[in-house]
Amino acid sequence: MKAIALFLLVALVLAPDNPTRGASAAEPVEAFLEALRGRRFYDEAFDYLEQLRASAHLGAPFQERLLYEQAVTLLASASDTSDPRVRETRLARAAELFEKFYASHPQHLLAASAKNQLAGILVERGRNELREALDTTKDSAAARAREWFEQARGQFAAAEKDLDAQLGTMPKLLAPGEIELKDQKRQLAGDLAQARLLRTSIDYELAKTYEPASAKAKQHFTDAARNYAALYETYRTRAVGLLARLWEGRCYQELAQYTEALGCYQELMDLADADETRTIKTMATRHALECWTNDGVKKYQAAIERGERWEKEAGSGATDADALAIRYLTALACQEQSQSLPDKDPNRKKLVGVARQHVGAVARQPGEYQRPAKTLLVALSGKNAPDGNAPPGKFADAYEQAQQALSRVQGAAAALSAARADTGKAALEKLTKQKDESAAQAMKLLRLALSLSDPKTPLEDLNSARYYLCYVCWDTGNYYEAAVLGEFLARRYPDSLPGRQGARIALAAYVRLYGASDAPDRSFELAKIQQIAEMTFQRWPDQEEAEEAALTLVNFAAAAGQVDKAVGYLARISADSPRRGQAELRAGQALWSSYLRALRLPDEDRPPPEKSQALKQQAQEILTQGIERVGKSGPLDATLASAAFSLAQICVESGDTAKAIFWLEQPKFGPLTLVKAGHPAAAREGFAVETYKMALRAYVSVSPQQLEKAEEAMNALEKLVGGTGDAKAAENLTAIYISLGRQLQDHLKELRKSGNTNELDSVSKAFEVFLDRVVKRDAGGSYASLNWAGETYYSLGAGFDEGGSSASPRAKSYLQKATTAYRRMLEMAQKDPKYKDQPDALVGMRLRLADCLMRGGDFDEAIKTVADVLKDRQMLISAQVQAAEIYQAKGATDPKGYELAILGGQPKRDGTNLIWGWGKISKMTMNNPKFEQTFHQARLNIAAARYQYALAQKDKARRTKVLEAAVGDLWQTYKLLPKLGGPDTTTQYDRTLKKIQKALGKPETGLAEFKQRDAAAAASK
Amino acid sequence: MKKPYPLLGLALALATGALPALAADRVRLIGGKQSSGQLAGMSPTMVTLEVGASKREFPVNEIESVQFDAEPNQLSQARIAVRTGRFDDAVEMLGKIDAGEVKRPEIAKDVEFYKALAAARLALAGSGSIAETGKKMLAFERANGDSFHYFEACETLGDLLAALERFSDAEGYYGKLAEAPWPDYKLRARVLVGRSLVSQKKFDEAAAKFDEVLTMDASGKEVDAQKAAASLGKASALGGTGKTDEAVKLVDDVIAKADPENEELYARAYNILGNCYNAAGKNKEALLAFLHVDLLYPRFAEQHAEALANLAILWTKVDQSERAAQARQMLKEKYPNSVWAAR
Repeated sequence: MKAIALFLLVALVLAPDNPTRGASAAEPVEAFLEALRGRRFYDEAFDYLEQLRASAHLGAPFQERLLYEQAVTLLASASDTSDPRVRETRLARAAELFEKFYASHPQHLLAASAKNQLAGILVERGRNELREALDTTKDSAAARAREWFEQARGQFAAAEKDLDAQLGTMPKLLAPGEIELKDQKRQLAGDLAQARLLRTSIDYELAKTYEPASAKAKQHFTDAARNYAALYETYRTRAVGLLARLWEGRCYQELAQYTEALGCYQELMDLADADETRTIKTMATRHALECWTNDGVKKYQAAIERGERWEKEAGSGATDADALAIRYLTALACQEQSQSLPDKDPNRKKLVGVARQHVGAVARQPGEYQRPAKTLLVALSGKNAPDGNAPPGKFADAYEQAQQALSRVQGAAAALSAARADTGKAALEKLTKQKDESAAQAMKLLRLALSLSDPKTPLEDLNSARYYLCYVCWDTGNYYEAAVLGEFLARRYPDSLPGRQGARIALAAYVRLYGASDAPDRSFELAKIQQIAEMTFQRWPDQEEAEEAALTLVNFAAAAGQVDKAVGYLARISADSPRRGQAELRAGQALWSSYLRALRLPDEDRPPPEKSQALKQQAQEILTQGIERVGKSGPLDATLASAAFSLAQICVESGDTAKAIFWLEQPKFGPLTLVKAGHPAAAREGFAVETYKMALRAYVSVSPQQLEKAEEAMNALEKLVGGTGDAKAAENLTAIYISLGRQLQDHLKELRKSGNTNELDSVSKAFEVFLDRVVKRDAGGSYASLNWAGETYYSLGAGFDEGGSSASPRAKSYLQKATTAYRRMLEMAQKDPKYKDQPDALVGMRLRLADCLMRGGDFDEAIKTVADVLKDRQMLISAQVQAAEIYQAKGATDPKGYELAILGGQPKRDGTNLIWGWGKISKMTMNNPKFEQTFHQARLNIAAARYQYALAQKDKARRTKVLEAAVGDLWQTYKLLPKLGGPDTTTQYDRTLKKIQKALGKPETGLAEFKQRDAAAAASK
Repeated sequence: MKKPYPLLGLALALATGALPALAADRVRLIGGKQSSGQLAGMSPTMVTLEVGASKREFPVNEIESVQFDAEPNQLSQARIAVRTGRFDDAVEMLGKIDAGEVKRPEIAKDVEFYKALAAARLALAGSGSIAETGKKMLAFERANGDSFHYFEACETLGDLLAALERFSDAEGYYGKLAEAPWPDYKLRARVLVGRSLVSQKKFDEAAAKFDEVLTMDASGKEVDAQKAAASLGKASALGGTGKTDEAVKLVDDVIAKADPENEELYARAYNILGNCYNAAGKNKEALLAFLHVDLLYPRFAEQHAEALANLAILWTKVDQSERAAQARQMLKEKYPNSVWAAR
C-alpha cells in the first residue's frame, strides 16, 4: 500500500503540469473526481467516470482521458485494499485500461505517463509477490518478483527511449507565444525524468529480493546508488534530482555506509524551507535519525538536535508515518543520551522529560512505531513493565495483546509442523499445549477487545479483531462461533479481506458441524452450507472462494444423489481450476451411482434406456476428465482410487473390458495396483474385495481372455476373504460369490433387455470357459471352486431367465450345472467335520440349491429341499418365504400352487402345516419392525397369488369372486397400516391393486379407490 | 505598521459580539453542530444559551450533550463514556470529581444525573443493586423537575421499575415521557410500555401498543428508529403467542433494513430472534441468534446478559455442556446481579 502511494506521489510530484486542469467540461468534473478520490470513494469515482462516458456534455479533451482516469482510480483503489487478491485484480484491470488508453491515444500528452504507470504496476506486482510470500515459498516468490522487476526495467527503458526521441523532435527554443508546445515539452520532460528515476529504482527493488547481507543484494544496492547519483547530477535543481539523492542515501544506508548516507540526507535537510521542499526534508530527517541512532553510529546528540529542529520548523500538527518516526527516534536518542550521562547529571532528567514528550504522541497513534513507543514510555517512567495479568481496559490494548497471543499461536504452530517428523512426544505435547494456551488467551483477549469497542473504534481494527476471533474459533473447533462471525463479516463487509475470508471460514465451519452431527436431521447445517455457498457465488463469482463453495456443494449433492445439482455446481468451477478435478471425480461418482440405482429399479420404474445410457456416458466422460486432471498432479487418495474403480466398472458394464483392465492396472492409481501394493488410498473396507471381483470379471470377459490373471484374482480374493479357512470364512466367501454373481446377473439381464445378444453370448461363454477351467483344475472340485462355480452358473441361469412360466433351455442348462455343484458341495460339507457343529452353515447351501431347483422348474424337489430345512428350523422366516415363493412359482403350471402359496402345505402330525404360506408369514411378522418388509412382501403376495389364481379360473363368477377377495386382502392391509410401509411398498400395493382392478374391468385407480372409500366412510359418519 | 492588526481584530470582534472567551457553555446537537454561549435557562424541553446579546433555544430532543464552562474534565469524559455505553468508565471518572471544587449548581446536577444514570444502566445489566440506584435516580427526578435530563430520568426510572416487576409504576414513568412534545418521545414511551406488557406476558395488548407506533403518521430518523424498535417489540409479542414464523420474518426485516451503526438495535433484534426460535423449538437457529449478541454486540450489557443466559441453556441442547458452563460462568462473572443470572 505504502509502496503504491509512493509511486503515485512520485508521479504526481514530478509531473510538470497536470493536464487535467486544462480540461473543460460543463460540470466541475475534475474537482468532483478529485474529491471522490480524495475521500477514497474509489468505487463511486469509477462509476462516475462510467457515467461520464455516456454524457453528451463532457468536453472532448476529458472524453479522451476517461480511460486514463479510470486506470488511475483503479490504481489508487488498489493501494487502498489490504486484500492481496483484490489488489492484484485491480492492478491487472488498471494495467488493462492504461494499455487501452495508450493504444487509442498514443500521441496524447498523458500517453508517456500511461507507459510509466504500466511499468510501475509491474514493480508493484513484484512487491506483492514478496509481501504475500510465506517462509516456505520465499525463494520462488523472490524469483517471480525479480521477473516482474526486470520486465518493468525493460518498459521504463523503452518509455525513456520514446520520450527522448519525442523531445528530440521538438525545437530547442520556443517563442514566448507557443504556450501549448511549451506545455507539451514540459510534460514530456517530466515524464522522461520520472521514467529515469523509476528505472533506477529497479536495482533497489532487486536488492530487496535477496538476503540483506548477501553479495547480490550489495551489488544491486551499489548499482542503484551509482545510478541515483548520476540522476542527481542530471537533475540537481529539480524535484526528481532531490528524490534521487534521497534514494541514493537509502542505498548507502542499506549498505551500512552511514557516512555516505548522512552526506546525502544532510544536503536535503539543509534545503531552504519551503512548501515544495517540506516533504523531502522530512523524509531525509527521518532517515538521518535512523542512521544516527543506529548501534553502529550512536550519534545521539546530532539526532536530538536535528529532531528538535524539524519539530520546530515542520513538525506542528504532522502525524504522518515519517513524523511519528522522527519523534520516536528523537525520543530514543534522548533516552540513550541520558543513559550516557552520570546519574546525578541534571541533564539526565531533562532528557528523559524531553523523550517522554516526544514519544507520548507516538504511543497514542496507531502505526509502525506505536508498540516500540509504548515500550519506551514504560522504560522512561522507570517502572517495571505493566502487570501482564491485569486485564486491558481499552480495545486497543486488548487487541494488541491478542495479536501478541496470536503470534505465539503462529509460532507454536510453525514449530509443530516443523517438528513432527523427528521430535519426541514430550516436546510435541509441550508445543501443542503452548499453542492451545495461546489460542485460548487470544480468544479471551479478542472477545474482551470486542466488548470494549465503541463507535470510535476504527472499523478496520474492529473487523480485524472479529476476523481473528473467527479464525481462532475455527482453529480451536468452536465452529458455531466461527460460523457466526464469518457470516457476519461476509454479509456486512463483502469488499474487505475479512469479509471474503469470513465466508470461507463460515462455510468450512458449517461443513464441520454437518460432519460432527450425528442427529438424524441435519437440514439446518445443510441449509446454512447452501446459503453461504450461494452468497459466495453472488459476491465473489470470479474468486477461488466461489469454486471452493461449488466443490463443497458438488460433494453434498453427490452424497445426496442429486445428480443434476452436482453437475450444475460442477459447471461453476472453471476448467483450469485446481479444484475442477476433485469436483469431477465427485460428480462423476454421483452420476454413476445414480445409474446403478436406476438399474436396480423394477422395470416399470426405470428410466428409458436412452436416458440410462446418457447417464452412464456422462459419468464416464466426467470421471475420465477428473481422473486425467487429478491423476497428473492431484493427491493419490481414496477419492481418486474409487473414481478409477468406477470408471473400470463402467467399462466392464459397457463391454469395454480392455479399457477396464487399463484403468484397473493403471500403474499410478489403478485400483488393482494400489490394492496389490497395500496403498492407504485402497485401504477402505471392502475396496480390495470389490477390486478383485471387478478384475475377475474383466479378465474373464476380455477378448482374448486373460484366464491366468483371472485365476490370480480369484485366488487373491479367496485368500483375502477366506484366509482363516473356517466355516465363517466360507460363509463370507459365499457371500462374495453371490454378490459377484448378482453383478454378473444384472449385467446379463441388462444385455438381454437391450437386445445385445452378441455381448450376452460372449460374456456367458467366457464365464463358462473359465468355470470349466476352475473346476477341472481342482480335479473333483474343492469347496471354494464348487462354490464359485455354483454361484456363477446360477447367475448365468438367472441372467438368461426371461421371467416366463418356465426357464429357457439355456437357463435350464446353467441352472442344472449349478444344481450339480451345490449337491456336490452339500455332500462334501456333510462329510466335513468342521460343519458338524455348525449345521446353520449348511442351511444357506440348501436354500441356494432349492432356489436353483425352482428356477429350473423342479418345484417338487425344491419344496422337498426347503422342507428338509424347515423340519429342523421351522421358524426360519427366510426359508418359509422361499417355500411360499416356490409354491407360487409352481402355480404357473399348477394353479393349486397359488392356494398352497397362501395357505401353506406339508401338514404335520398335529394338523398344522410345516410350510406356512404367505397368510401365516404375514401373521407371524406383523408388528415386528425387524420383519416389516417381509410382512408387506407376504401381504402383497397373498393378493398376487389370488390374482394369478383368479386368472387361471375359467368360471367368470368364480374369477370375479377371487379377484374381489384379492382386493379385500389389500383393503385389509390398508385399513391396518395406511402408510403401507413407506413409499416403495406403497407403489407396489398401488401397482398390484391396479392389475386386479383391470382384471375386474374397473377403472385402474389403484389406491385412490381405498382413499375414496375412506373419505366416503368419514362423510357418512 | 505591525500594531494596527490586533486593534483592528478587537474592533471587529466587538462589532460582531463574537467574544469566544465569554462563551464557554456549549450545546452539541445530534448530527454534530454545536453552539457556544452562556447558559441562560433550562427546562425538560428546552436549553437556552445567551449568545452575545441574543438568546438561542435548543429543543432537548435535538441535543446530544451540554458541556459547561469550567466543568471538571472527568465530567466531559464520563459523558462520552455514557454515550458510548462504557458505564464502568463513567462511574470511575465521576467518582474522581471533587464535589467541593464544583462551583456551578448546573454542573453539580449534571454530575448527580450521570452518576445515577451510569449506576442505573450497570444495575440493569446486572452490576449493582437496582433498588439502590433507583433511589438515586428518583431523588434526582424529584429534585430536578426543570432539568433537561428530566425525560431521560423518567425513562430510566421506568426501566428500573420494570426490572423490579413493578410494571404499573414503570408505565407511570413511561407515561411522563409520553408528555414530551415530540413525536419520537411519544413513540418511545409507547414502545417502552409495549415492552413492559411483553414482560407481563400480555402479548395481545403489547402487540396493539406496538401497532400504535407502527401506524403512526410521522417520519424522520428518530421516528424511524422507534418504529424499528416497535417492530421488534411486536415480534416478541407475536413470538409469545406462538406466531413464531411471522415474528421471525418481522425481525429479519428489521435486521435487513437497520442502520449498520445502530448496534444496540441489532443486539436487541438478535435476542428477540433467538427468543422466537426458542419458542419454535429451533435450537440451532436460536443458538446462532444469541451468539450474534455474544460475539458481536457484547458491549450492550443488558442484551449480552440475556444472550448469555439463553446460550447457557442452548449449548446443553446441542450437547455442548462445557460451553454451557462457560456461558453461565461468564454471565455470573460479568453480570452477577442481573435478572438473567438469577434465573
